[in-house]
Amino acid sequence: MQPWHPHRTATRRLGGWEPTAAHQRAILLAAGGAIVAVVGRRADLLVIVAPLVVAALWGHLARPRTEVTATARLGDSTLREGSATGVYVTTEPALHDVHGVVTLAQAPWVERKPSSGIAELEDGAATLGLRSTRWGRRRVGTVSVALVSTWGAFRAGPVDLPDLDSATLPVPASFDASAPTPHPRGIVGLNRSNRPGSGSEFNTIRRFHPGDRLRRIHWPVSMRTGALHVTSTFTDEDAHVFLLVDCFSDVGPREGIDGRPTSLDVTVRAAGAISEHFLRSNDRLTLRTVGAAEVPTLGVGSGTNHLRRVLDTLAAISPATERRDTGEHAIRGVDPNALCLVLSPLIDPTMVTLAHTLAARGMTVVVVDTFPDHLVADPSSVYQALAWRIRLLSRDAEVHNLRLRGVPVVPWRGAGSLDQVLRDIARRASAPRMARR
Amino acid sequence: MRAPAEDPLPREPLRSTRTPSVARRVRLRRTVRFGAGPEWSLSQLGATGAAMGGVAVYLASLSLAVGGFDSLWWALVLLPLVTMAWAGSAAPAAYWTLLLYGWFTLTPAGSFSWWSLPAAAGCVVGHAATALSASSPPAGSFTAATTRRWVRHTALAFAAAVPVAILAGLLAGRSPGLVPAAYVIGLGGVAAGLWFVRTSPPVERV
Repeated sequence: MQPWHPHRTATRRLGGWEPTAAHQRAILLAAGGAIVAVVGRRADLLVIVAPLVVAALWGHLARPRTEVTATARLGDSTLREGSATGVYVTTEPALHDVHGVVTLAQAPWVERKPSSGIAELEDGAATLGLRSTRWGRRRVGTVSVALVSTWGAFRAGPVDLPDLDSATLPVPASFDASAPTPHPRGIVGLNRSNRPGSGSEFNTIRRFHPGDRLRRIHWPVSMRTGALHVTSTFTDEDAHVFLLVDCFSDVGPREGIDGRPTSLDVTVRAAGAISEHFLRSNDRLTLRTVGAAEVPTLGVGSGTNHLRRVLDTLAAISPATERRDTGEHAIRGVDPNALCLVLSPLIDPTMVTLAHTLAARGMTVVVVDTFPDHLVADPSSVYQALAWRIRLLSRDAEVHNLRLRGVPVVPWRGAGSLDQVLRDIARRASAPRMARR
Repeated sequence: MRAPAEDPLPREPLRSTRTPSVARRVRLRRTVRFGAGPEWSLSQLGATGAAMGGVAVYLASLSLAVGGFDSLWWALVLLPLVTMAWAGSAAPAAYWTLLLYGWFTLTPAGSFSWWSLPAAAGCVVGHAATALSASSPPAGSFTAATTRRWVRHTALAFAAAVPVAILAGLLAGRSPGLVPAAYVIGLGGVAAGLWFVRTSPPVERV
């Protein structure tokens, strides 16, 4: 897939200056009135049209002769849901006594400030505000610029500038987990391992060995026993988290950050929140999507820069653009010790099959159910309610099958959603188990 | 424990430091919507009101100059309001042609009235208000500086009517021997006007 390069600046020439209806009116009334006044001997009519003669001549003599270039610049090409930025429009050269109007066309999920999307150029510059209300990559509305000379006599434009692009990153939902991540193996994370070593979690107090750091010496015990003792710790390790995001369905009204979330809104925001939590703990994370076309493949990474890449990838999702995706490519080459989190509203059976496949490989799989409750809370018609009831019964059967296989299915509830299941997995990891490979 | 790295993105975007600065620079204006039509800014309504005022002053001057006319003519005051959505079209030229024709037909030939001076003011105000209205979309607003500039230009244009009125007042009632000279002056003025508004080279027709 080609890398996405958003257009943050757009420039275009406004073209030549054309006479307006106002100028033609002034010329017509002035000339016609003057002729009729002279021919019909109406001196007072000559008085009446005299200001129009001045307006016509003034407008013509003050006609701008330079070609103007308009430039629109987006303040931030990357936003978070609900955040605002500005579109800054300038004209070069900034002409004196020229009245300019900038219009920002309406675009989905973009709120304009002012709501009309119209601003007047002052000294060749204007600012329009916009607020992105939903995650995703999109074009902000087309910016058009028009200039009118003195007396509204000549006009340049309106000319549409090339479209500006913006990426709106999902606002991660509130999420935190106090439970440890299963299977830590690395050396840079914050998860406690079972091996003693350099870390922060207390293990025991033991006798001093060559190589121990002097700052680890426990002086009270050393003084009491007469031999040097040190405080030993468990080593800190990082784990690998594998996120599998269901992009097959986007069910529910799309109301943006200010309204009720769709199933994909919940999925994407949950993925962002989980990514943020684990990446802040210095764990490694992989994100794969199923059912969305043209989503860049994201490798394994950790840290805040990787969080930015994860959110960029989530913003690139277009729901249900690859219906034939079986997900086999997405789960290929996954670390067998990774914690697999499948985020799905469990509407499309493909994701259920993928969860079964991952579990059959002996991997630790948790399905995070991102089905929004409000979809079935207030159905608009009895037929819709019946359809949802049938679908949910089928869905319950699929969830039951997953649980029978030992795959926990937890509903997404924000902070603490995964605490219990992660603790259970950590306990289960220490017990012997059988896996089909 | 390691200290968490600094987040490259704001955690709470609605409290971003950039939002207030943008909001400060963006000036919010009130708009009005009539039924299912487009939004109209108060500035545009003000310009339309000024155009109606210009027509009203013109009609009042005409009424005083000719000693009254049929009350139906007063309905012409509503024309700028009716044609508000077509300020950038030929509609204003059409109704101003009608109004000037009304002056031509209702006043006797060879007469002069000082009421033509306020009528000129009404005419230029109506023209300027309509031109200003056409320079912006219906929901667009005008800054105070723009309004001041147009008022200044309108006042200067109106000032041209004063010496013409004084000259016309002085020449009113004189012998008609000046008529051939007036023809020459008028036609010379028209020729000069056409020379000024010529386009060189001619505008290309697409």
